[in-house]
Amino acid sequence: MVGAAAERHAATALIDAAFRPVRAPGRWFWPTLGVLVAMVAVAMAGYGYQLFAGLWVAGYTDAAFYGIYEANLVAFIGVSYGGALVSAVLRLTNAPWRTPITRMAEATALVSLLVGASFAIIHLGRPERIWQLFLFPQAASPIVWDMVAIATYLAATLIFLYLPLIPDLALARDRLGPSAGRLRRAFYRVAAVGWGGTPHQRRRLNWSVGAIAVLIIPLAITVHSVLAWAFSMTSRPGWHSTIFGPYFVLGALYSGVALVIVVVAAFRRAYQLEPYIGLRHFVSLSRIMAVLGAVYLYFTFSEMLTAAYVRTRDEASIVAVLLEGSFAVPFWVFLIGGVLVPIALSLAARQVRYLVVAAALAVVGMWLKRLLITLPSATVPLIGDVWGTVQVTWVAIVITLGAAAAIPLGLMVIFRFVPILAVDEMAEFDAHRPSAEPSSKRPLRAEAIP
Amino acid sequence: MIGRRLLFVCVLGTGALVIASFASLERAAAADPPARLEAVAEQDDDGVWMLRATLTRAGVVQSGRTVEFLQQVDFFGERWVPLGTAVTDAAGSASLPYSPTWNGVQHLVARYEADEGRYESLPVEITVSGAIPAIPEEAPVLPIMRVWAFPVATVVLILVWLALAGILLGAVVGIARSGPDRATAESPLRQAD
Repeated sequence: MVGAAAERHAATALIDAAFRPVRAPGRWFWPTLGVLVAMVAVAMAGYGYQLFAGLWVAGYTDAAFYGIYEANLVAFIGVSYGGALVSAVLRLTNAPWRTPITRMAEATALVSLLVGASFAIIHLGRPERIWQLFLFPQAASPIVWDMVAIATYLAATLIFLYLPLIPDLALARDRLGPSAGRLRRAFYRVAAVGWGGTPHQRRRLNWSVGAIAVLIIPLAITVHSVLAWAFSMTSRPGWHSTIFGPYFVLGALYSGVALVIVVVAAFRRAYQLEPYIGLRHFVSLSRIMAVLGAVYLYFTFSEMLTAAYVRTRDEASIVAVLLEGSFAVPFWVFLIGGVLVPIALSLAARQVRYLVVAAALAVVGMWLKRLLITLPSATVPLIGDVWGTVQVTWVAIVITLGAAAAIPLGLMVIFRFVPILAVDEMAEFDAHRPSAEPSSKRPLRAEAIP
Repeated sequence: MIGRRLLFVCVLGTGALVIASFASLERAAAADPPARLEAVAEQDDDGVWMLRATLTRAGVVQSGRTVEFLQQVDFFGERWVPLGTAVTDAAGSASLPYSPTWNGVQHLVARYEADEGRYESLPVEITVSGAIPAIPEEAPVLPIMRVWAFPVATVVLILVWLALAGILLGAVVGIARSGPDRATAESPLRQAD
């Protein structure tokens, strides 16, 4: 009897925590939302000005035809793949500690994909012509396949977020009273598709979640490879590389795991989720991040060594500007601050704040790396020896900051409607733990690593 | 009387000022005569062009000055694209190797930015053949790519979309059919307060 009562109490506490953003998001919520909305609004105003004045206001010239927007496109879509892949791999390997963080990882994947994909339009000089890409697609164009790949992946990400949500939407349908509002209750009723937790429904759902988790892994790898091939299928020095597909995938995974750590830490603190998300979650994610960072380091070394050793003029010039030329400072900042320090911190630190600092460094460092992939090759001269220069303008800065703000904004909005923790999965997982195990070790409680 | 003397002084002073102005102008002109820039382009045996510009002022060679070489192009409109810079040597000559990336008649100039303004050589016309293109010439598309790549990619894409639709519909329809009325009461979530 006492055990059942404790179980009910734990379940009530879990539901309260998971629905906290839905019911009472806290005093900080609206001011933060206001700041983020303001940043996005300024970015939209900047884009309006760019539409009116032309791409030159973002620092583009004929000798620097790619700029900060392409780096944003790769970086934001990259972190999306990372979030989805981490969640999928943890599901398939049935990692016992995954349940409190998968919802946030999946939501991060969706939001950052939407933000990243928007840069495919932002960087167009004539965006009003994009419909021609749909009506008159050129099968030989990597851009067309890139668009198709992103659309496919967006559909998969939506399904990947939605399916595990069904039991929790049913919970919201059953537990949120009239205060939730008529529209919202109707949404829960429709989206929950009659979930009642029967064994048949659970079997069906588990099979579908497993299937989408299996499908999303090759899909994410393929889609990010297609994005990489949009670069490497050009003859520009620095881009025409066979390693670009896996290199981009690795970078996406590394930065994606890092962003998941930052997002989980932020929402854990904001919604007091410490009883469910503990140090061990951060340590586990940080170790994954460190391994991915080490492999990314190897890929970087491999790419630069082959380009520098053969010394064809154009490839060597790219390596030279990165190692000791005009892009040397950001390159070394990326290498040391964005990879080496985060790896060392992730392996050595045993406090959440240091692990979060390591992850934040990795996110910023990898954004810098995307700039370093884009800019040198976009400014290398094909006529003469004079490099193009990219101007960092206020328009590009506000649009980039607005896009970065759109990710937490989107997550805050999503978690106003759906529980932030995968309640059903956490309870289900807890129910299937061996009964001999002490209740204090159950995954509903996030114990710290000594 | 005073007025005459004053008039005399004024005339004298004005005359002196005029003479001094002319003298200073002449001195300035003597110190900084207009520069002259002459450009030539020669091709070596390897096909690399050497652009040379000689900078002089009143016949005196100017060393240690930076000269810029430019090429006239008409991509997206006619304009001068910088090819690079070189510094004049003791003989007043600046040299820049130039590997053309396209064939045909090209016009090049040398430019020198002096304190008093910009000097430009007369355009040099060269005719290039055997240039190494910056973007390699396209090879014919491999048959395996031309014939199979697009259909295979399209089939894979259709299969992926069908799989996605199948997974989503299978879950939604399967769950909806069994309905909530048969819900189990075992879950602690349903028993929670």
